[in-house]
Amino acid sequence: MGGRWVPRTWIKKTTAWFVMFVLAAIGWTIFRAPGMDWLVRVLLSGGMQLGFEGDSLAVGLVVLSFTLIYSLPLFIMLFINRVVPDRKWVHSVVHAAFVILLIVFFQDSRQDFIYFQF
Amino acid sequence: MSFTSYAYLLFFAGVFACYWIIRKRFVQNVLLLAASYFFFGFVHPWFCLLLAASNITDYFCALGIRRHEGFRKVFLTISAGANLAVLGFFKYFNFFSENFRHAAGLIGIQLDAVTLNIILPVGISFYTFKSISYVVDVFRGKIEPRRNIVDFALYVAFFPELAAGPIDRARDLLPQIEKERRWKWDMFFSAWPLLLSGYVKKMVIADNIAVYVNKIFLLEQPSFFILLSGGVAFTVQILADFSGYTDMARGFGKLLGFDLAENFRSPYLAVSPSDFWRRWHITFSTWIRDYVYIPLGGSRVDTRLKFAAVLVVTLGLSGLWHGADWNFIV
Repeated sequence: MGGRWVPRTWIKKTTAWFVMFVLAAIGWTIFRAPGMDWLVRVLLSGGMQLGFEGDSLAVGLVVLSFTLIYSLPLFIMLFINRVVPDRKWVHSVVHAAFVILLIVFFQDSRQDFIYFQF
Repeated sequence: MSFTSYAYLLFFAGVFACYWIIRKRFVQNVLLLAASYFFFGFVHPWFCLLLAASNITDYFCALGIRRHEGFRKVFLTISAGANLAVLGFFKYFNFFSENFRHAAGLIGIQLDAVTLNIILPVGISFYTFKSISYVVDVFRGKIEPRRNIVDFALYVAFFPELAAGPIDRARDLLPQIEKERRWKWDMFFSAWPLLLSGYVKKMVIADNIAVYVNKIFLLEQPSFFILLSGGVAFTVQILADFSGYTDMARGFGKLLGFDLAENFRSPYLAVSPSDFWRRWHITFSTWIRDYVYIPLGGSRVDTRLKFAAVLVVTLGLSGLWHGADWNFIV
């Protein structure tokens, strides 16, 4: 929807990508909040700490680190599909690694699909 | 029945084996339709009546649009009205009831809370949109109404995409349903990477990140940094979960000889909001564009105020479709 804006330099491209990612993260935070009243209470209450210290910093960093670790397969998929789409042996190696991951992680219906959780 | 359950894998294996043993297209379609109804009514069999009612209504309305020129709008209204009424009741009754009570309270009228314990039929938002698009496309003359009710019902209820999309258009999926299908090993080789990436996205990425996200959003008063980390984690989780589901749906579709639409194209590489909507849940975005945004005037409206109103309505409806609460709309 709307016009098709394309950033021309890498600085503009990187900035635009970062801004869009932040906007998406804000949007999904609102989406995931248990309710608007929860979000408003959390954001507007005078007691909200920034949390860049102590336990809060540790918890946040642990969550971000595990998110990054678990996201690695996404980055790998992006890489093989965009950078080496024709190198079949790379795809085969990655697929073999994914099969091993699935053997380790497969459990019967651990979590419902996201769409059914809301 | 979730794609990640043993029950589903067993169900699919049975359908897959019977489907390719059968050589006749019509019988294959009947089998797929029966399997789709079984999938839909697995938890609550009476849901099948709801799906059947929707299928029959839209089938006859589409035929009516073509056969009775003077009543085209009547048939379109019946079809869209019935679909939206069912969707509205099951998905939004409690939301609107609660907000109506709040609004009445603001002007001094105290009403008792009327909420119902409604069980939402799986995939109702998805198959309703497919049904509506079919009837609207027949109304617009873009496709011919189908005489074969099995083909039409299978288009609406096709089980790989019944629960969470993609929302394929009739012009793309119906021709595939209507043509002969024979097993080729190519189908397996194109399905395999999709199934693998789908299961990894769901079971390795999304489900593990969900453990942290769920805990953070249960906190009474998280700090800004914890909320930020939870928000970033959920941003990854929802992509992995939703696009994982689509990958699996497309993979299962390919094993049955169908090419289902692509729904996600690296959305977090987007560089503008419009770019994002061209990459995220593509079949839904294009549905909203074609059946809500453009009919409301789109970018061709003459004032900025009208354009803003069109955008607010379009994005508001889009948010409401995802869930019945204000945070979805915001």
